Amino acid sequence: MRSPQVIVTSPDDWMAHQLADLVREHRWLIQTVRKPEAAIPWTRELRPTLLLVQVDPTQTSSVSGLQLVRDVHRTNSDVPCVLVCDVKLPEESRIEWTMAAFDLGARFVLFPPLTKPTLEDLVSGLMLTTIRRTQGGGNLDG
Amino acid sequence: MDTADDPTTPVPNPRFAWRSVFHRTETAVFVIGANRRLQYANPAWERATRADFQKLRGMRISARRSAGLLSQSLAPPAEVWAGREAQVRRIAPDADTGPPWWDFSFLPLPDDQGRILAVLGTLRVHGEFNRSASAVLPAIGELRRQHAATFPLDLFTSQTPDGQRLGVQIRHAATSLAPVWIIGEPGTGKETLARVIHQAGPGRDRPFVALDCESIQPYLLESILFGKGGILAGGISTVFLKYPARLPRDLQQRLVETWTAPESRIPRVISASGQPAIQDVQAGQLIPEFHTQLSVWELTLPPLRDRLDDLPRLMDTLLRRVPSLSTPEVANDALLSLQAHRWPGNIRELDQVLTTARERAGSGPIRREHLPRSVQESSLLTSPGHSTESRTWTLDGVLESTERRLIQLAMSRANGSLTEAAAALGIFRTRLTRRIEALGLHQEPPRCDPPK
Repeated sequence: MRSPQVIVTSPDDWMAHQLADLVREHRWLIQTVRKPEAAIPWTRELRPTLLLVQVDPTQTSSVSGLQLVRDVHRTNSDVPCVLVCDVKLPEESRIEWTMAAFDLGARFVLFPPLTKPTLEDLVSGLMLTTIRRTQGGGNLDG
Repeated sequence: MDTADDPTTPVPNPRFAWRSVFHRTETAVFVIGANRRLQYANPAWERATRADFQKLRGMRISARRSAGLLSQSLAPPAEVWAGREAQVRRIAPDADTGPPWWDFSFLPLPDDQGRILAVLGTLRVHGEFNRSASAVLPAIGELRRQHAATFPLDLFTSQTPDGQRLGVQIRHAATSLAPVWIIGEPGTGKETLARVIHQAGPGRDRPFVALDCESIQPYLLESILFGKGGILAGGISTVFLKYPARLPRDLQQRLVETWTAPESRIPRVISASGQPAIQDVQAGQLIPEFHTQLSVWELTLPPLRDRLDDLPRLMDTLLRRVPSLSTPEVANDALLSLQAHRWPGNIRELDQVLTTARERAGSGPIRREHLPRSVQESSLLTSPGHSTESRTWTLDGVLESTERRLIQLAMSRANGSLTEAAAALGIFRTRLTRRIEALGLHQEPPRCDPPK
């Protein structure tokens, strides 16, 4: 099996830095791409992959992030997608965005405060099941 | 002109009219001199940082804690002083976690000899509260409509009697809002079925939320369900729980109570597991109320090996899923190998096999040699055109086939390493080598992991 990878679509390296220790400890690769559409080829690689998509819901460019989530869920549902919103929103908008992201296939949606322990908890759980499902084991109970 | 009072090598610091260039811009701009002191900041910077530049002029900019929070925030990374641009995001000094974030761009300004004269920085405050996201949502509505269209009811059409019966059950489950419990091996498409049921039901216009209880920490699930801004506060239509027996019992209880409450905000719950709910209850992993309240309909997805008649249709659906790629033809020799394979990973494995084969085939049809070795080997145990029942078995033939298969599996799992494969088989390496030669097996060189 090729080395597993975490793909981060983000305008900067902040999230990659937060996950660097966890990724290094588990010997995963981490790739940062600036534009969502550039992540598509990475998600088609035949290796366990986890995708984190950072968006600013107040910008129209955030639609491309959700489009990426939808495209990955449609073509390769084994790649878990996590939407990370780095903007505090009013509660009503937050609910709408959360539900829209899940409806399009996201596995989880994170809003601020974005802390390193929370990111690590979320990513480590997804890493484990991604490996297991890629190897064909799935749920050990059957 | 600011003279460099830094005890390190003094660098000429020519005066530049920063004010005339940046004083009226809306972008927050600041300049750090070669002496690592704040040389200039415009009014936009003062508004963003809520600081008075006149009081901070000459402030030492350093990443050291002793320099203060603001100084640490403004300090360029080391590579900037080495002549490279950098973008960084930092938490604002008065916040423990972001937002607000401060997004910095640092641009070094070198002289003709490459010595850094100053660093030009821009600052953007990111993540301010109360900015509405509603303007973006109409565009997302179209995305959701397109995505929903990929889960039609006929996705589970089948030629087999069990499959046809499942199709009828799906239609009934879709029109009812009773909770559904989907049973299936890993990779059989339990979430896909849940989405099909949701899209065929009366609540299709509202969101579908899938929660993986196996991979998401319970406290995160609890926050997304019941926390501030949690999905239960919104108008969702269907909650899909994958492996709910993985949830802590108190969270299971809370879900049941939420569902059974008179003012429940969850119109439908669909759960999925590898076994019936009653078995999870008997194993002590699921509370009995979950079984009685949330598994009214039980739908069983057959493993792929029991529905090989559907293989051509499934392959066509999977190959057409990527609209940007052409749909390759599957040659007969490949089809025979695919039909002979046992598919322990079910449709998920089929998807991975087809993806690999499409890549290897390029623009041509998918042939047997494009399939993964494990699938190719499956057809070695079954003669094409003959069923296993009509084949004559000899003891030596069966033993040799079994030995061949075991050695190939062991070599595959050991990534071609003879030593590891021999250890896995419980034999000496020399014996393994002799048997490989005797059976005429092709030995591939060990595969290496990519460098970290």
